[in-house]
Amino acid sequence: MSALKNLNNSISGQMFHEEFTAKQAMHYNLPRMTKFLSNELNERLEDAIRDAGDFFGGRNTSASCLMTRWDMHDYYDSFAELSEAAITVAESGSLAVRTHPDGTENPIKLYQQESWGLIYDKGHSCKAHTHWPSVWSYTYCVKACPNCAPFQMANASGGAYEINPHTSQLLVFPSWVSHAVPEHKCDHERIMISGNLDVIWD
Amino acid sequence: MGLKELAQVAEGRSPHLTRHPKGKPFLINFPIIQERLKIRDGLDWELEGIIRIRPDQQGRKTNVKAGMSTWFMQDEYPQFQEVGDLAIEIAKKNSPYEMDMNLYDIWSAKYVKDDFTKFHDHWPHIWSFVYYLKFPKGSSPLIFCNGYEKEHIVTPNEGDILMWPSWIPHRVDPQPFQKERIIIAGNISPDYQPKNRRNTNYWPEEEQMQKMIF
Repeated sequence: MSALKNLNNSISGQMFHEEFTAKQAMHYNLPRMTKFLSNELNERLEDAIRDAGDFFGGRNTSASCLMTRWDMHDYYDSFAELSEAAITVAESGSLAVRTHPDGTENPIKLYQQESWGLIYDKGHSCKAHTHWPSVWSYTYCVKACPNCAPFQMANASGGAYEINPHTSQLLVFPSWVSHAVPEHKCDHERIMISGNLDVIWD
Repeated sequence: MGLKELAQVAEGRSPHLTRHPKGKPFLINFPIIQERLKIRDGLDWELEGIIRIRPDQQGRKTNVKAGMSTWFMQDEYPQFQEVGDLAIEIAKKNSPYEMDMNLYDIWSAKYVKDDFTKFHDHWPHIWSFVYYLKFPKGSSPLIFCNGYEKEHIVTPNEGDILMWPSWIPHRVDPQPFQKERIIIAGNISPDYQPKNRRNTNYWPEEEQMQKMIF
């Protein structure tokens, strides 16, 4: 059962069923990365994923595909670079203006909690899940075509908001948003990276 | 141009999560916990006494346009930490999986006629709560809202605690009369930091992973 479902089925209290009319996902296409940087970076990311291999050895998490260890940014410079980019995006898009008791701004600083690589082959998918209690999560497309399985953000009333993958695309979203990947039907690999960002509490 | 610079294509901040310029529409369920807070005898009296000797220390400069204490009352008064500890128990009970949590901050607010709190959220904390120390019948409820047309109004009883995921925006409309509406509010955050990341050298067994991984 997903965390969000668990939250939804909370054992006490009433349910807040809110229709969000304009919120929650930040979608960054970085096309210039494709032209100037991503080939080199993406090659290093892909190499790192293949080098790390399938950490779970067929154990079943949400994703049925190859999935590396969770702390790839500690082991591979390419992942650390991507983490830095994701943190920059998330911090620049931060939402609350937190202040010190004296009224001066107290920026919310983030750090990389986890990052991991995934290689989807034909038939692989990822069940609906959230990344609670992290604050921001992201996915980065290392290699895919627009016809590959989309990233789906589930809607409690049914249906989903879909984002088709594009190589070098970075997607940052609040970690509590439930998401999934339907069955990958392309004959080639769909190579992705996922990560979680958390707050450095002072 | 490096990745960092490219990443700065991100647009500027929005003061509210619900109005983020990159927002997309969703329909999501979130829990709002409401239950009677089980406090020890005498704690209410002690809390009220503390609040009355420190009626307003914020000058109405925050979202709370009512008499308000400082943010970190647990550092000065163990009675506030007691409330926070009880809130953490409730948060743990209602979280998707077991994890350690901290009381980040806790404060009091005393509303009289026309006092109110502006629309806001408590992001990036994970759980927020309000304990209703004094809530005369007819007092202003807590209104969860998305900044547009939808609202969800919760009217507590005196002695109740309300708890919800911190990113849900909410407000309090003006108190309709002079009778005091006294609350204690706080935020709960995860108990981990970069130095003790939750997964460093920690690879959960499958059963635990099923709880962790969504």
